[in-house]
Amino acid sequence: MKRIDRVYQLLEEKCDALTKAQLLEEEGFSANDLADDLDMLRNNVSLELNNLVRIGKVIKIKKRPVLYIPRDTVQKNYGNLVDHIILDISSLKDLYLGREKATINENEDPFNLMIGADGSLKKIVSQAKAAVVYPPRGLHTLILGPTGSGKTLFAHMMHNYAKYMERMDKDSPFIVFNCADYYNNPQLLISQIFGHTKGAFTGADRDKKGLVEKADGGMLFLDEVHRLPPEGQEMIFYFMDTGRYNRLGETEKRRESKVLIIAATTEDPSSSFLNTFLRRIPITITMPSFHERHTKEKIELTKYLLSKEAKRIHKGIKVNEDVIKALIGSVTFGNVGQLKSNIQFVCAQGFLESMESDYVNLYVKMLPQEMKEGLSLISRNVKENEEISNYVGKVTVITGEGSKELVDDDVYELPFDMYKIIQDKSNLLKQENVDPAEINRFVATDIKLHIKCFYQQVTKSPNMKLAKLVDKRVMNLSEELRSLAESMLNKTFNDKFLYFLSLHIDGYLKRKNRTKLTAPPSHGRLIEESEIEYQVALKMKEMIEEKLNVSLPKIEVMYLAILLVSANELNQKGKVGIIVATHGNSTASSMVNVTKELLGDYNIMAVDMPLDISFKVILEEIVAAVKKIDRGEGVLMLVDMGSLYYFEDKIREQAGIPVKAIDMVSTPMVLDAVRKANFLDMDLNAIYNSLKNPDPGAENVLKSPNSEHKDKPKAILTICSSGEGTAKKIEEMIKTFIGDVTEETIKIIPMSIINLNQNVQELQKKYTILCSIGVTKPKIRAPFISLEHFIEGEGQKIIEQAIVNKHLRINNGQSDAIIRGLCEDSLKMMLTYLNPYRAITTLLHFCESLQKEWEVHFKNTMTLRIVVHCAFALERTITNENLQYKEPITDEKRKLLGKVKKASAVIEKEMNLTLPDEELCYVVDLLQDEFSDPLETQSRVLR
Amino acid sequence: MTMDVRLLRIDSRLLHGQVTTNWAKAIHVNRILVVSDRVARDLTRKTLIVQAAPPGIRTHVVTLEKMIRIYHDPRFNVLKPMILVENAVDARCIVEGGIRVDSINIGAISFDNTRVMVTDAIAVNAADVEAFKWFHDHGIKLDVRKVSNDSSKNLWKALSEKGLV
Repeated sequence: MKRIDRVYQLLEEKCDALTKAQLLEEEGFSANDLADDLDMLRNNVSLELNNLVRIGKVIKIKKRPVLYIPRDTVQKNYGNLVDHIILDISSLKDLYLGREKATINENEDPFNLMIGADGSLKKIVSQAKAAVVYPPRGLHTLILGPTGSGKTLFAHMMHNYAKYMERMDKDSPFIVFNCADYYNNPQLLISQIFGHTKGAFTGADRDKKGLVEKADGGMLFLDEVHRLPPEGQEMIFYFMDTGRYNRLGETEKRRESKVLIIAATTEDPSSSFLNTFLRRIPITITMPSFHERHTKEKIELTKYLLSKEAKRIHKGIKVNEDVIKALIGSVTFGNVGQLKSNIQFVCAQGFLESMESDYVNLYVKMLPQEMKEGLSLISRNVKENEEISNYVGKVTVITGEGSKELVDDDVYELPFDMYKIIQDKSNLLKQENVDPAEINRFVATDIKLHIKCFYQQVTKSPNMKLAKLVDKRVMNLSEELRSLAESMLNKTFNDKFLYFLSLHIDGYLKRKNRTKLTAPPSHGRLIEESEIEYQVALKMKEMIEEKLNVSLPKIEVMYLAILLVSANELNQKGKVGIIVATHGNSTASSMVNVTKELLGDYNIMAVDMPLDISFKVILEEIVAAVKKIDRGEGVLMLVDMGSLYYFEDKIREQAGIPVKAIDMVSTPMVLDAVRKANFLDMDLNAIYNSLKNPDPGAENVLKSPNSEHKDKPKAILTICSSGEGTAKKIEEMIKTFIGDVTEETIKIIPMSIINLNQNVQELQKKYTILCSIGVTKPKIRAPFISLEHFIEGEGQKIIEQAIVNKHLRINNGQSDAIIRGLCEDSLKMMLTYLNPYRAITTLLHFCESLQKEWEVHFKNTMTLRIVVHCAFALERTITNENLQYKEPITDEKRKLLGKVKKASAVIEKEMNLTLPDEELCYVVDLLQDEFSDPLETQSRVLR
Repeated sequence: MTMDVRLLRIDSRLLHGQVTTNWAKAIHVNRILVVSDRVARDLTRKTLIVQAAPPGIRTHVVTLEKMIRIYHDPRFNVLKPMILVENAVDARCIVEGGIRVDSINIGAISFDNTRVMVTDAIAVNAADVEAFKWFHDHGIKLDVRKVSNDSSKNLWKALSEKGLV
């Protein structure tokens, strides 16, 4: 025997002599321990041990003295604890204890350990408990829920509960089987579950036990049960009903086993497959998706998963509030499983960056783009955003303490020690004198690859289906309507027709004020021209009314008829082009892809705007896209944030093509736009207006200008509870504004909300009401501007629009009347020395030059903030009591300060006052708070 | 436990611009509560204040009575607010209502016909002086600072020097 083998053999013997617990204390043996017994020099033993470490047979434990332990022994005792590419570890004990599952208190209900057990899981937990304790042996259960929502974990908890309630033995089996594993070979799959006899099929050379046999007295968890072939389903059902089964190859069902079956599937509960299952399995539990969870639970889940990572890396994790938001916001179809992989990725990244410090810091900048988008998604959901802020501080420190492993064989667990790999790799690179930034990039790519390829095995790709966008009932109804149309018209309609139909009906149901409309005269001839289609549409109407219990106005019948006529012709010529432009790397493209998938190829294009690309480049890209997509009818742009909206004119000018922009975009909206442009042949303005005011009347009102109202005087309503306070104030503010925009006389009527609708009806007889502003929306067909919108600045545009729509003339020249009114209102009571009216004029000029200097657009609220702040700064300057600025002034800040200073020249010119740099620094902060991201990009471009 | 009031500030301009933001950042608040009966009743100003609040921190305008009510409501324990009031009398009212602070920050009180200037940013009238006296008697510090990193001055000293107390 070679010396190296002797060393190995002795080490193995020595280790095997110890019990699992002893071994954990000892952790292994040193070269010294072995040298005496082998009668060899310590140096030689050490040399051989290190050779063994190199070839991967032995693991080195870096302690004083250095200890060694055979890899097989570790594997045997503690399972897959150390990945095969790792040669040395710092402590076996720490590693093991770090992974060991929490000892579950025998006297504690295992369900209590689940996050949300008294929240969103409350109902299903009580269902599960009932299922487990139901006499005599519990009820078979079907768990439904999307990928990653925790079905496996939940089944595990049911088993734990059964043990806790002493319904099952402490050592009763819990066996997990994924039916998707043998999907390609139904025979093998069935033999896995029920076992087989020798000779049952080619290759079955001996008898084999099936899982139902192994699970006797316990639970069998069948994951992805929809992958079970029909013959397997029958056998399972039979087994569930009788408790009897046969192995493959046996003819009689003589074998018996007492097993509680828990089946799980991601399948839609109404699919044909599940019908049988639902009928045969008594209990159905539906896991909520991540989004259906309460905000508090989302945070707890995030913290829990973070603390698991903290435990693995033996460091605390400092996590920024925004990171938590981003993590929560970026969860899509993958639910908790996805959250987990995202958290692991972020932690790995953070670990890499803070190898030297005691804490791992997680902050927004380090997040990959797709998670940053999660942040912006969350910040649009005001309620959730606020709730998260309430529950977590600006920075939360998370430690590994108290994190419990609920189950030990979690398929979502990474099979290797990722952090170890990171550490080794980066140390190696450091020794090679690789630049730290380079190391980070290198290792980060590596982590991403590791995690990605692991989770791709586990999670399935998302299936974006129409079902997610429209109500199930509507889908089914549309199917029926299609077959009705097909049989009556004797031709076939494709899926596109189906999609459109369901979207249309769904859209109709979702609109709030379903008022009856008369058909527009332009479509009157349709009834004669397409008599048959019209008849079919009438039948469809009956069916819809019956099934959905709504009454469908005549105009809807028209639309249905138009759709039937136009379903087969899909020429793209002469139709409005659509561009979807959103921030982020792929948001726009994915929306456009969904649309194309559902409604077919239409004249639509996506422009993605990654946050690090300068605005100029994007503008050029959009202009190019507009030119490309125009078919002579103009182009509609759906954009996600303000900036582009304000460049509508510029794009129109540069492309020389009529363009309309709507600063709201969502998949249903894109679908709606395409539908209107393609199937209903609406023109640019009509689509724009109908999307802008989702009011059933809007589409038609604009097509047929209502001549009846032409002679009545125009009015705008302002509304508050009393009709005295706020309403009067708004009146004052818009009076000047309207005077500036148009010369026509428009009466402004302040109103109280008491008897509002009645009074409005009266007024409608005397006036044409252009729009209303205030606290409550009256029941009229005119745009309504809420107080918030009015103050934010959108109100101004809507009022202008309302005036244009009624064919009134608009003067050129902007008016700043509203913002001026707002500023005056805020300042007039509070300034001691300054004349508010004069100061505001100057400060508004200041804001204008700031906007030019920074190439941004201020909302009214932003302008207001700056004007109010600067007004007080000016007062401080007069009294020589300026604020001190004590934050460090970075180079970047100095650069930005230069810009603000340049803009502030106008104050000096008009008021002969100079704001000192210190005060201007606060203005820089103010701007940075509001525009942090674009500014960063900008200054980067400048450099 | 009740909510952790990070700062109680008297400023007749209530929430204005970067000065408020500076405070909010420096003392890590997660909410700004503007407490004023007058503003809470004035819908326009109320909306204006909420809309013009610094980005990232939620702001609410509440009446004095509501402030006291939510302070004692355990559902709001997670709040770490900065409370802004218009004048010393309002401040006294909520402190008497049970809100615990050991110092009060005074930013600015604008001058009007009833008031006299004490420092260049603070003017007081008889009612204010009465309230400040009350605070002083209850051992609550009167801390004059515009922004968080100014050095603190004691208003009581200024009031004594002017012979107002």
